[in-house]
Amino acid sequence: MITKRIVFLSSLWAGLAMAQQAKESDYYKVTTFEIPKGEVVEATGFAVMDDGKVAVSSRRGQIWTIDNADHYPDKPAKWNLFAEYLHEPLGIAFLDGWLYATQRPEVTRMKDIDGDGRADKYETVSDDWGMSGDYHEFTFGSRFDPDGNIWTVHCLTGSYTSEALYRGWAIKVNKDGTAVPAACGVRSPGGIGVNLQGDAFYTDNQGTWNGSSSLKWVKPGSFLGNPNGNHHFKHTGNVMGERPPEPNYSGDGRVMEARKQIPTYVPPAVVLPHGKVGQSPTAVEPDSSEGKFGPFAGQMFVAEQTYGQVQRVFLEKVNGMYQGAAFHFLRGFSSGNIGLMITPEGKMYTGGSNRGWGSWGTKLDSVERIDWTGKMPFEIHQMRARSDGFELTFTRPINPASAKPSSFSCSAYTYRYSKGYGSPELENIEPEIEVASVAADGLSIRIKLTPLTQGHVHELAAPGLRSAKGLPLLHDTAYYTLNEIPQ
Amino acid sequence: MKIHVSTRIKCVTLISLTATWLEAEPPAWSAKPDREITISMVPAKMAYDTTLLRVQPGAKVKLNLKNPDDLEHNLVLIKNDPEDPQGERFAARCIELGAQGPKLAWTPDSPRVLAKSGMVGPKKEREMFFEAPSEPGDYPYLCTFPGHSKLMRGILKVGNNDPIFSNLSYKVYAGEFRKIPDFRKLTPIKTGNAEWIDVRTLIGGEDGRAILWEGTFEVRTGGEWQFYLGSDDGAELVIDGKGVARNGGNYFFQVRKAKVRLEPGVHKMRLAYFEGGGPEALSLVADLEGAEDMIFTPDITAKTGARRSWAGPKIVKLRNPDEALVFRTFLRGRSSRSIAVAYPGRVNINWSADSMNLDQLWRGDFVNAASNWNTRGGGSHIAGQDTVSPTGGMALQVLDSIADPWIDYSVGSSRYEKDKGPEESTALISYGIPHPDYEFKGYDLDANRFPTFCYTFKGVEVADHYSPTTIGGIEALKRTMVIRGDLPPNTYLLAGVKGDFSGLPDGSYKINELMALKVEGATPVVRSSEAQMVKPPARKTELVKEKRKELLVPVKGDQTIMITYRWMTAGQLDK
Repeated sequence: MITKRIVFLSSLWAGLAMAQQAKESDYYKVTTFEIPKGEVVEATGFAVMDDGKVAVSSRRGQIWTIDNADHYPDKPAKWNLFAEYLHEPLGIAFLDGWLYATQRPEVTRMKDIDGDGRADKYETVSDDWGMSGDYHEFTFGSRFDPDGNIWTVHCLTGSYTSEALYRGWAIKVNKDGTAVPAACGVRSPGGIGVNLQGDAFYTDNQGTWNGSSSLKWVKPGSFLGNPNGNHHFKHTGNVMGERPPEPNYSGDGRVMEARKQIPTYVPPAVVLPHGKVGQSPTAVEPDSSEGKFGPFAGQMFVAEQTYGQVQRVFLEKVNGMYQGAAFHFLRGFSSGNIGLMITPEGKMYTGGSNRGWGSWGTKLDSVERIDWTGKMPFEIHQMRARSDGFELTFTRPINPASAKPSSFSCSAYTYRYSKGYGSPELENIEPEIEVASVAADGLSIRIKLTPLTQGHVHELAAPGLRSAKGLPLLHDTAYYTLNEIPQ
Repeated sequence: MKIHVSTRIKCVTLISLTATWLEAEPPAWSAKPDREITISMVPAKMAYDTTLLRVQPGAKVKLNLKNPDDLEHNLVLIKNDPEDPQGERFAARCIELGAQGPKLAWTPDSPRVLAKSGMVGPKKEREMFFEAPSEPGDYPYLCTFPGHSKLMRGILKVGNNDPIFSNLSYKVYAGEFRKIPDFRKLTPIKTGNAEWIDVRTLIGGEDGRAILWEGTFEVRTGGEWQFYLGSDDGAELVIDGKGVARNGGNYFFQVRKAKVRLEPGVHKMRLAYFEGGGPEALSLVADLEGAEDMIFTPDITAKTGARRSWAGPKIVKLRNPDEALVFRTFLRGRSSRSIAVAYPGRVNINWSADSMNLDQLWRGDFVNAASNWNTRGGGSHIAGQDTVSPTGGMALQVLDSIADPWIDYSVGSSRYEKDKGPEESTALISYGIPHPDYEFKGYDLDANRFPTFCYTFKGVEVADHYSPTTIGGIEALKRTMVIRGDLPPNTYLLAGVKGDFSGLPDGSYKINELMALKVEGATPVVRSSEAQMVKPPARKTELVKEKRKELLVPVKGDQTIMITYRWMTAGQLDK
């Protein structure tokens, strides 16, 4: 009798252990705002005003301010229409009493002079780029960098050609109105942001010259991959130097080859493998909350429109080149995420639209807030390249017994760099995995991979890893772009 | 000790880890199908270009799927289910595939699936083969990528497919239409006969058209038929001389339903339609329980409901009747930095931030923004009437001699072709570049939210303000230009072009049959000249030479110029 009961109990425990899966909602709570009746708010950007209200820009042209946004629904959210019918604002920022919006034709700053809650002064900060009238010529703008610049990035005509001035370029706009071309080679951006070190990054969509969508570093003076906008070099004065040499038009190029052929070419910092991390990455935002939003202070977050998700990116610099790893962060948003903000108080705001491109989130429009519950998830915290593999750190100590090679799998691959549309994963390699060391505190391990392939995405999964408390990783796969191998 | 364990241990089915869609082999009859049909995904519209396929029972069908869009799509043919006639529940099941979706081409393993295409990538094509069911009926087909099926679907009708009309004629008219016109006053630009009512083949993509169809059709089963009339813009259905349904047309695609008692036999139909601007659609279907549907148009979305009205009407209206509304948008045919402003009193302008000048003024309804927030965003159209463009182009220029031509806009050019190096590119493209003499500064809104546009010309500040008024009860627009600072010598303001500029008793100059303008604060001169102008639309910006009459106003700066534009006759404005 007793034996049976023990068996019964132990199988129940086995059931418990298997069912002991952490959910994202254990750690991050999503609150969906109710949109004012009769309005449509396809959230494309967020900013915090000087009175604490959260401003949200809509693809439709409105800018709303929301009072009590941080405390909704405990306190009712009060929506106020601050500006109306701008021409597709895709990025807003607040500075020194002015709300700045990057809209299709210009970076504008606006202010409410007469105190009725609506902006009545609209100043053109910069309009130094062309628009042909094609719907696809999107222009995104970041929030301010430490030097008072908004980084703007301009989609190609139709996402393929450059038929208006500076389509396919990034332009740095200072709050004093000076606009300086910063980089060429852009294809189809979805958003742009500045990390805590003051460097600008944007997301570029899979398509021509982009084997997969990726997060690209806007290094001033660089060529970022798509050559179609380069005929505008003659308008840049000498600020970008000489027009770069042409890439390989044969149809079977590689990023590593382009790096050797084109001196100013900067490869994508972090590839976001197509169909795995997402299909349409959008906003780029650093975590400036110093821990109030959880353990990822200083890391970057990238919104994803098709999947209706937010992903996380860890960045590092090796041999002067930005690279790093992408991870899933949160799924299941109501629409296709376009806008993203993390406030210093630790609130994440996101929202978007599924109009025109479809998304797994089925709502036409959305504004949502994400709060950290305070509970620490078990996640890969940082992933750094080493001369023979990677060093991973964790948010909670691991169970060292689970850190064995069979707990991991790794596949490395690259993509074509060519005028064709996108690319399948190529040159697949499955390196041998060795766990070189586990730190005594269980918070980091060294993985040795043989071989390590420069230029490849190294997709490292750790489904067998367990925390000291027996939990699997909340997100067990890292996608590391190995542009440089450190010494 | 009770242990509450929620043992929802999910069975993770081992799906193949390779991400390729396993294609079925084409059938033996693939070279000789009974029907071969091409279906295209419409770029940016999230729709198939064909929403109705009619095939015989058991027909061997080859579909050529073309995807010119920049998203992937698929086509899945499913059995009909009376409880889910449009396949919405099925589409929801496809979304639930979640992370497995991409590997399964968003198609679950379900007995309801009759045929599936797999994902068709952007710019790709694919052939799909299937045998039509032997049982007559309606079989839905849809794109099961999450979120697409609401608009991207159609019906495969298995049965006989005789044309419904025994004879049908059409007459097409051109003009500015905002309601069904009185056709007796118009002359058609095109006439002919057709098998059924197909607006896409007649006027696909054209704006400003009205069409009148007249024909006879046979009713096989008598009864109270439910008619579904869907249209964008408006339509009016008359059967046997009696009005059945009408759509005003000021909203997105709208459906009107009406019941009509019809005895078996031949009946007369008259269908009038107009298209003001933006997307066009016309769908007419009738059904009766126990009888086969009567389908009058290839578009059956009036009945299937596969068209969603985006929130809000197309015609943008003032939120507050006393305040102006500023709307920055693309306006079809104009340069890209358009700022449209609606004023109280139904006077509207389009001010261009490219040329820093008034581009157009019109009265009546403001702007039709349907293309703007329908799918990917394609810009707006003027919705009112009696539009006048006094000059187009830049307002100010230095002419060292009165004989010098007016040269407008600033254009750059490059040898450039898609994905070709500069050596291989032979084509020359031109595009607008910032004008060295001008800088747009923005605008301020006054207490009534009327904008004052600010810019500099050669470093001198200009403030350009407009307000609506009436003269003799007829709409007019008052323009006040304040020039703050000294202009270079020989600076001129271009006040009007191409008009006869005959002087009128009140001191105004006639621009054309619609409008006259009056200048105060300076004395205009009339001249003839060959200007170099930008020809809209500014998609590929080129300068074009144009010989014309011009009304020039010499200006020296530190002055205020007022121009009043007035329509000379009362308009036919809808209330």
